[in-house]
This record gives sequence, C-alpha cells and structure tokens, in this order.
Amino acid sequence: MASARRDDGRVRGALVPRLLLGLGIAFLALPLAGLVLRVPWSELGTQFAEPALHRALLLSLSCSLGATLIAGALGFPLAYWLAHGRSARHKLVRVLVVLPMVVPPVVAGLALLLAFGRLGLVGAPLEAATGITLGFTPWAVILAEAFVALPFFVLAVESGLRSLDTRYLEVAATLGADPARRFRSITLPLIAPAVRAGLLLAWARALGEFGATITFAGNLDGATRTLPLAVYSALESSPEAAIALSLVLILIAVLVLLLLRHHWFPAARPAGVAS
Amino acid sequence: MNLMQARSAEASQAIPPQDPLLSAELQLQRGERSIRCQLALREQQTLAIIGPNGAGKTSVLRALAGFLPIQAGRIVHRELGLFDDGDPGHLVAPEQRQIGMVFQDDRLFPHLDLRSNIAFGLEQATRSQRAAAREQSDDWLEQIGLLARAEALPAELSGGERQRVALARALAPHPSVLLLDEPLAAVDASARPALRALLKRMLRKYVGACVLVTHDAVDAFTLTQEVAVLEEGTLTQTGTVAEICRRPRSRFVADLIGVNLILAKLEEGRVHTWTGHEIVVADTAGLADGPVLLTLHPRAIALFPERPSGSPRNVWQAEVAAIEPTGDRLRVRLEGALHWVAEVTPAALAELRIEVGRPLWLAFKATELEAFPA
Repeated sequence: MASARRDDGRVRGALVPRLLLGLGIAFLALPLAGLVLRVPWSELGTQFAEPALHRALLLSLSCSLGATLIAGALGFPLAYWLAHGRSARHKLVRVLVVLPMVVPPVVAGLALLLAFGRLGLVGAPLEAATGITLGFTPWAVILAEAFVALPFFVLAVESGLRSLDTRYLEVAATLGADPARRFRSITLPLIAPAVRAGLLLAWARALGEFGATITFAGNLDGATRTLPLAVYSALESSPEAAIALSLVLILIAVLVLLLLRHHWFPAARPAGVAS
Repeated sequence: MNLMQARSAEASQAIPPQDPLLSAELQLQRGERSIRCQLALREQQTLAIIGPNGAGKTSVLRALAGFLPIQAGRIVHRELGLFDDGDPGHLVAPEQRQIGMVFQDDRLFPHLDLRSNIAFGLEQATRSQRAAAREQSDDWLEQIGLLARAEALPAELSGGERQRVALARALAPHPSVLLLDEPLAAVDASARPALRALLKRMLRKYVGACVLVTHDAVDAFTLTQEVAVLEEGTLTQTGTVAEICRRPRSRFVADLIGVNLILAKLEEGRVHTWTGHEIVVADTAGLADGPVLLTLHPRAIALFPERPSGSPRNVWQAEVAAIEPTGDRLRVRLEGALHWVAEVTPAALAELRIEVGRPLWLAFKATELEAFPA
C-alpha cells in the first residue's frame, strides 16, 4: 500500500474504498456522538451523586477484579498446557476454552445456573452439604464474569507462550538454571506483555458482562446489579440516569485502552518474542 | 563446589586422571541422517568439528549439552559420571552437566542488562553471593572491553559486542566443558578478526575442555589443536591441524578448506614453512614470532611450464596430482614439497597442456599470502 500513499500519508485512489472508509469511521463515531450529545451535563452532578450508581460502580469494579483474578489463576495453567501440546485432548480443551467467547452470554448464564444454581449439578449438592447458595449473590456475579472472561486471558497468554523464543530457555539451562528458575527468570519476564494484555482484556470483558450475569445472578440492586445491568434497569424509568451510567462505563473503557496502547501499538516489537 | 571436589576425588581413584574429561561415543538419528561419532575431550584442549551443512555437527554438540538424547552409546564425564547412554532414565539434564555453550546467535537475554546476563550463571542465592556475582560480571565486562556498558540492554549492542558478552556469560560459571557452535559465523566480517583474537585469548586461559563447531577453516586452524571432520554423520578424519593440512583425506576437507593452508613459523620477520622452506609474506605486522597459518587463494597461484623469470618471489616446483572441475574453472592439485591447489580456466589448462603427472612451476605474490597466528 506504500505506493498508494502520498507523502502526507493520505490514501489516494478509487472513490468506493474512500467512501467505505468514511462510512466505517462514521459508523463507529455516530453512536458515541449520539450518547455524548444527550448527556444531561447540568444534571450530571446529581446523577453521579446517586447512591444506586455508587453501589453499581463498586460492585462492578470489585466483581470484575475478582473475576480477573480467577481468570488469571485458572487461565495460566490452561494457557501453559495448551501452548505445549497438539494432541486431541488439547484440541478438545481449546474448544472448551473458546466456547464462552462464542456462545451467547445468556446461554452461558443459563448453563452456569444449571451447574451452580440451587438445583444445579454442583449447586444442589453444595447447598445440601454446606447450606451455601451462590445464585443471586455477588459470588454469582464473579463466577459469571470469570466464565466469560477466561477465554480472553487464556488465548492472550497462550499466544504469548507460543511465540516465546525457547532458545533463551536452552541457554539458561546451560547456565545451570533448573526448570523452575527458567520459568521465573526467563519465561515470565518475556511473556509479561502478553499476561498484562490478557489481564486487561479479561477485566474489560468482565466489566461489560451483562447476559450471563442477569441470567445466573439476577438483577438485585446492591447485590448483583452491576453497571451494565443498572444501565438496562434505568433505561425505562430514567434515561438520564442510564446515560450518566453509560458515560462512566465509556470512561472506564477509554482508560483501559490507554493502558493497553503500549501492547497493541508498541514502538518496537517486544524483545524476545518472535514474530 | 565441595560436592564436586569430593566427587572428583572419588572418581580420580577409580579412573586415572589422564583419561579424557569428557568421552563420547554416540549414535544419533536426525530424520534420514544417522550420526555416529567418537570424541575424547581433554582439559585445556580445543577440538574443532568441521564439516558441511547438515553433516550433524550441531547435533553432536546438542547431544553433548543434553538437548538431544542419544540413541545409543555413552557420554561420560570423568568427574560428574554418566551423562547419557541412550536410556532416558539415565539422561542427565543440561543444567546438571556443568557445560557452557555459545551459539551462532548470541541468545543474550533481551530483558537483562549485560551485567545481569553474565551474572545469570553465577550462584545468587544469598545477598553476598549476589554482590560477588555482580563483581565477577564486571571483571568479565572489563576483560571484553564493555564495562562502560554494563547497564546496556543487548539490543543496544552490535553483533560482535553481543557475541563477546555471550562468550563471557558462558565462561563466567567456570564450566568444565565449553561448547562453541559456530560462534563467529553470524558476526560481521569486519568484527570477526577482533572476536577471533578475543576467543583465542579466552581459550588460552580456559582450563576446561572445549569443542568448536565451525565450517570456517581459518577458525578451526587458528583456534584449535585438533580437528575432527564430520561428513554425512561420520567422522572421516581426525588429527592435528598439521596432519589435516598435510593430508586432507577427503575431497570435502580440501574443498572445505577452499584455500591453500600452509603451516609456517615466523622468526625475526622471516617465515619458514613446516618443511623448512622459506616463504615470502608481505604483511606480518601484528604477528608475534611463533607458529603462523598462511592462507593462499587457489586463484592467486599462477602455473608455468618453465621456471618463471618475472617478479614473483615465491616460486615452487610441483607435479600435477589431480584435476577436478569446480564451477566454470578447474582445480589443479599439485604435489611437491607442499600440497597446492590452484584454479585455472579450461583455456589455460589446454594452453599449458596440464595433465596428471606433468611437472610444473607455480608462483604467487608475497601480498597474496594472509597470515594468522596459529
């Protein structure tokens, strides 16, 4: 494409591609503009002071963080195992890992309900044994978010591990480093960008989770009503509140993108990772 | 360290100390190619393994390092015991073999600065050990002339500088066996002489056994005492540099060498070949008295039916031993006081009526000879 560029970097050429390009940008920008134009700036102070918003924001942040931690703890061993094999078992597990990403979140929520709900596969014996029920508690929110966020972390870390240059591990072995030290001193630092990206992606996915949460955890103010659920609930009664809540979510999204920009648009290819 | 000394004392009772430090008799299978090779590595000795691409040189090195289990045979370290005998249960992991390895690509850890790269192989469990490791790293950095850049990341260095650090990193933990896999091949031609000189200096001080895999005859003959030629998975010739130069046993060795290699001795500015004949070398600047290796390109040799009368100062007599095609030219092997390889065009061959058994005169300029410390 370099030849189709002028010195100023603008794309020259046929009309249709340029039209599509403009349409694409407009398609992405217009909904955002629509929302921002409707923001009740004068009321924003009172909207932001609303205790329900605080409850939703706090619940969203704590649950999405908890879900990210679970995705990281369960996801790392999965990513490591997946990155080091190509057997039929690996293929099967990869399908399992990717499934929550492609299945509609409502279906994921229903599946979680049938596994961990009061009458579920695990939920029923759990309640019988300990009296604990997960459904309609913040724990259910965390579980739902972790379930849908896990694939993002696993895939990011797995691809990091796959592109890790194993020649460095060989040198480390000749220098006397046992497998544990090789992992600690070579593997982890070299795949750190992928782990960071995986954590941020998983967190963003958890934060935006709606379908699985409302199906599995319900929509109880103060217990399971996260920001996206609060937006949905507010839409009928008070559109201004919904817009204010949406603005908070957009601000969080922009923050995540700023944090991620070094990984997605790096100045140079990260060291030690082959293309 | 104590454990090792104890083991060494124990082992030295059972095995006489003059035994090789590492003896290997190994059989490997790499795809279609099966590799068989027998090596004995002694302290303070460098063995070169030379051979064409795909001959299995690197595989042999990787088997010694422990990255490639052997199919059959034995790799035994005099002090550390059995490394590998083809039984996966007996395989000793690379990190337990006390080997150092330098690869063609420097493989410096990209996330660590030079000091930490060199310190990586040093014991760093306690605070005082870490301080000692830093100090040792700085000593090495000073030796390789990079102390000022101790905190630089490998990406900020040139290829030659990186390979110097890789060498220091491999030597820092005092490995008992040092494996060098084409350490100069990926370095710029301009940086190679300096790196070769550094390597030579380091190897002279190194007390362990060293194996150098290379396809460069000059590296093999300037850095090592013994050469093993590996062709198609088999050792076709082993011997000292002098033996190999005198009698390249296969076409390959001669071709690999590619140039005429002449072992000689420099004394008070005059150069004599190992046969005692004087040979005139234009440039011996920077060379100390002692053994030198001369290289001479086959095309630099001119052939004459009669003794040439012109200016060349090096004139030798020899008899044509063989004629072989090479590309669009012909390679003429000559036997006289020394063995020579000359390259001529088919036209010249016809004009001079070169044929096997014909005595000829050969001449070359003193400026065509390149001298290396041997």
